[in-house]
Amino acid sequence: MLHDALSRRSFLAAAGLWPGCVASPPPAFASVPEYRRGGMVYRRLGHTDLWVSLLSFGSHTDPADRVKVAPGKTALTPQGQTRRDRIITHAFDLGVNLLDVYETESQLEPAARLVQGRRDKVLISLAHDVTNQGIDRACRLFGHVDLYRFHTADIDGPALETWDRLRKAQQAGKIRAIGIATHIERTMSLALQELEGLDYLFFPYNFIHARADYSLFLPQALRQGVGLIAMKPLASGSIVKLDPRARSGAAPEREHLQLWQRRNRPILPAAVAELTKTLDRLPDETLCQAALRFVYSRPFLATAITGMFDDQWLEENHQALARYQQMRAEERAALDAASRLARRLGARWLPEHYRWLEEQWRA
Amino acid sequence: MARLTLTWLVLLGPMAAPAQQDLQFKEAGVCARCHVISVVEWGMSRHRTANTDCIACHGASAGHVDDERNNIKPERMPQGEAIAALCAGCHTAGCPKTRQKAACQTCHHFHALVDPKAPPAVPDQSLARSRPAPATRSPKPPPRITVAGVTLVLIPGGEFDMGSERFPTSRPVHTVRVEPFYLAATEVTQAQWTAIMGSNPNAHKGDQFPVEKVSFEDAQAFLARLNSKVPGGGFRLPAEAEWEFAAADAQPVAGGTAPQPAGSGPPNKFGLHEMLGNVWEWCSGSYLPYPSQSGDSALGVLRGGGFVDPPDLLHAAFRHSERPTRRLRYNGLRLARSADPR
Repeated sequence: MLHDALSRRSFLAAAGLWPGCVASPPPAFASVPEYRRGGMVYRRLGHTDLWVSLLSFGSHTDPADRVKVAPGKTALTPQGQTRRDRIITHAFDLGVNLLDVYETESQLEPAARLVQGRRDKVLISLAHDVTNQGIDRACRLFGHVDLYRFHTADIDGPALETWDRLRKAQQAGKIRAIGIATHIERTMSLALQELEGLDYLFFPYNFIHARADYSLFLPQALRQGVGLIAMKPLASGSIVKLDPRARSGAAPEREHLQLWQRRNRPILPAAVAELTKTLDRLPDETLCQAALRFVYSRPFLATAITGMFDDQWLEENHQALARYQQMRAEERAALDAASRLARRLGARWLPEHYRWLEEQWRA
Repeated sequence: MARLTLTWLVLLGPMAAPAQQDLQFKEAGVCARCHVISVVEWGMSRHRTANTDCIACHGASAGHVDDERNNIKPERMPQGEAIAALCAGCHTAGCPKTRQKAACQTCHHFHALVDPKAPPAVPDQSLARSRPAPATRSPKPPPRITVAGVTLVLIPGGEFDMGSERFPTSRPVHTVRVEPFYLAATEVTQAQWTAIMGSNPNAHKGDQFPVEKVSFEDAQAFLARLNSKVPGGGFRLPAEAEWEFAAADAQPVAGGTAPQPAGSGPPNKFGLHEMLGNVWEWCSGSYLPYPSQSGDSALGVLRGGGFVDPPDLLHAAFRHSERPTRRLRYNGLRLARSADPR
C-alpha cells in the first residue's frame, strides 16, 4: 500500500520518474501484494481477488499472418492460428495466466478452445464489443469473463452508459473485474473520479513513455485500490528497433525498419555509439529485456501486457523476470542511452499509428 | 431449509385435495425418498393438477424403489425429444409461451411444467380438458386509492425471502418482513413529472411514457414538491425490500430502443405494471451488501431493469446501484406511500 504522506519527490523516485533516476530501485511502500511460483511472479489486481502473472499475453496478432475478413475485422491464416495457439500454450506452461483477446482479430473462439480444460487457471481479458450481446456471447464461450474493459478517450455520456452496462454484467456475475483502457492522462484521472467500481486501468507505460506528472494519478489509483496494467511496455514493439544487436527480421509487425540501416547510421553516430557501448556491458541481456525489467520492477503495476509473435520473444520476456527485483546500474545506463537515442530520432522510431504517443507520453 | 419446507409442502399439502391427487402425492412421496428435488419441481408445477404423475412418464417401475443399490432402473427414462413427445400429450399446440414443439428442456427443467417466475402470458387452451374446473369466485383485487392523480395499490405486506443465489450482489437469500404499504400501479410518467417539476428531462418525449434521466436527488426534489402540493401526501420512494416484495410474479417488459407507455404491460398479482423492464426505479436508502445492510454507502439503489438491459437482468432480486447525482436515460422512479402515514 502506498504511504499516505508520500511526497511528490519520493513518489517520483519510487516510480523512477525523477530526472536522472530512470530506473532506480523502488522502495517497498509503493508495492502491490505479490508472490512467486515457479518462474513466474503473480501480483494482485487492485482490490479484486484476482492474481495476475507479471507477464501477460497481449491481444495483437502477427500482421504477417492476418487476413481481412470484414470491414474492421481480421483473422489469422490457419498456419498463423496454429502458431499463435502454440505460443499461447507455451506461455501458459511458463506460468502466464492472463490472456488478452481481441474480438476484432477473430480470437474469441480460438481462445475459448485453447483454455478448455484449464479455464480455472487462466484469466480471460476482453476489450471489444461491450454490448449486452457481446458480453453474453463471451460468457457463452468462456463461462464468464475475468477482465472486461473498453477503450475510451473521454468519460462522457456514452462512456458512462457503457460503464453502467459493464457494472450490471459484473453484478450479474458475468464479469469479475471491469476497467478501461486509455492513452490520455486526463481520462485516467477522470475515470478514477467518475467510474464507480473501477477495478483496473490499462495505460501506456514503458521506460520512455512514462510521464513525470503521473505523480497525481498513480498514488490516487493505488489509494483507491485500482489495479494498474501496463500496456505497450515495449512501445508497440518499437524498443527492439533501438537495439543494434537485434536480429534481422525481429522488428515488430514485420516492418523491417532497422534503425541501424545504413541511412540512419550516419545521422546518430554519437547516440548509437553510446547505446552500443552500454549494451556491450550487458552481454546476457537484450535491450527489450532491460526495458521489460524496468516495467516489472515498478511495484505499483499489476502486470505488463505485451504481444508476442514467436517463441523467442516469449522466452526472452519470461527470462527477464528471473532478476526482476533489482535493476543493475548497467541496465539503467543502457535504458538512459536508448531513451536519448529515441529522443534524437523524434517519433520515427514508433510505428506511424503510434507516433502521437511520443508527444503525449514521453517522460 | 427452503427445499425441505417445499418438500413438506409437497408431501403434506394434498391433505384436503381430491382423492386422485391424494393418490398421486402418495406415490410421489415414495419417489421423494430419493428424488427430492424432482418431486418438489413436479409438486410446484401444474403437472400436479394435470393428471401427470411420476408413473405417467416413468412407468410403474416395479422393484426400483426396493432396490437400494439401484440395480433396477425405472421402466422409462425419457430423454431429449422423447420428453417433447410426452409434453405434446397435453400441449398439442406446442409451448403456450413460444409455440415451440421440441427441446422443451431448453426452457423448462425435466419436471417443471411452468417456470413459476415467468408463467406464460397466454393460457394454453389445450390444457382445458385436463384442468380442474376453475374456481367460481375470482380473488379479490387489492384495494386501490387515487391520490393526486396517482393510482396506488395496497400491498398487503408479509414475510418473504429476499435476494437470489443467482446474482453475486443479491446473496444471501434472507427472510424479511414488510409492513403493508401503497405502491403506484405504474412508474411516474412524463406528464406527472412535468406537472410537478415544470420540465421534462426525457429525450424520448410522450406524456404517458415513464420519466427517465432522473437522478436520486432529482427524485427527492420531485417528492418534496409533490408532498408540498398534496396535503398529507406522504409520497416517498419504496424501500428495497418493499419493492422486491411487490415485484413478485411480475412479467418482464420487452426491451428495445425506448420504453413502453406506463401501464401498457400486463399487471402482476398485485396489479402493478412494468415492475420488470421499461425504466430502472430508484429505491430509498443506500446500496449496501446483504444481509445486514449495515455501514454507509454513497450509492443509491435501483431496481427492476430498463429497456436497454438483457432479459436475464430483468429479475425481481437483481440489484443495481448508481451515484445519487447521476442521470442516465433509463433511470426513473415509482411512488410509494405508507399504509398508515404518520
